[in-house]
Amino acid sequence: MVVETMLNRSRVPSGLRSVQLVPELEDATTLQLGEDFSSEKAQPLTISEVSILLSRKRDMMRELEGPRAEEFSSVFKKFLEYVERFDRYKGLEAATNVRSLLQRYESLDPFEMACLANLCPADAEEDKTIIPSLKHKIDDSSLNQLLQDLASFTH
Amino acid sequence: MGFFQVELTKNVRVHPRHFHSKLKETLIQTLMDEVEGTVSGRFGFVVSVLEVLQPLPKGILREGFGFAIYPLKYKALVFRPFKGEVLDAVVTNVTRHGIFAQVGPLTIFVSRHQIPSDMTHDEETASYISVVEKAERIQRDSAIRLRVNGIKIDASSFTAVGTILDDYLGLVE
Repeated sequence: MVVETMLNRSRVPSGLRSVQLVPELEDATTLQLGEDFSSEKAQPLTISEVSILLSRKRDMMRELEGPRAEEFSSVFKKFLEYVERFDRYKGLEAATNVRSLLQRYESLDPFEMACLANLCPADAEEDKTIIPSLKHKIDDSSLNQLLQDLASFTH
Repeated sequence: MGFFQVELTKNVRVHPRHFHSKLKETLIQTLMDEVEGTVSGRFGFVVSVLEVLQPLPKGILREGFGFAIYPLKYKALVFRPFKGEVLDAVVTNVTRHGIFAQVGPLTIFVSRHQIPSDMTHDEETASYISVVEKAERIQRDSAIRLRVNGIKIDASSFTAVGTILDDYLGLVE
């Protein structure tokens, strides 16, 4: 399925319409995220890290006086609400500990690390079902250990 | 998953009235005003500018106009959904056709056919209730874990469809 982006259909001749096959080639289950989101170009963040970044930004904005103080985009507000609800580790210390723990498992892709932290599966079986790309990368007992350690940082 | 830090570039146009000591602040503020909250098919939702890379580049004056263009490089926090990934989402609407859930501003639709058949739609309470476990009920504000099955990109936004059929998906919290 070819998807059209951005150009108004009725004004642009069909030959010049820009098309993007982007979504068709992507598949998170096999870590195909496209070139823009390869591990060299993009760093996946955990929800806890995002929560810290967004609340810092909000606090910074509040310190400014005048009309700018509450001028957050609706995108910002909605994501702030989302991460506050789904942040499992709460706080800079826990988020940092989680990140350090994950970095030790070098066989994991950064995207997998972020998924693991965000979804917090109960055991290796659940984990390998919801993040299939992990299946052959790590043995169950190491994975169970990692999940237990992650759980110890949750709030 | 979903959230990434990426490096982006933006040509920020500045009017000559800003060519003074506060130019740097103006540049950064203009960048934020122009990109934060926007959506693109390529990078997803731009949630926040994290850092503008220093040193700032020199401005290029547009011939015939007084404006200068600054090709700014910056780090941004973006949210970009991917097909196949598992996400937690908040239910906003329940109908007999399916469930609408949100991840921030992104709406994900889970059709009736992507909901386990042992859950029935209850019109009165606008929810899906498990026939096996009556306490298990999906309604507005419930959190559900879903897998994104498909993403469609149009002019200025994404829509996504998902499923809660597979193991370990469904109600969370």
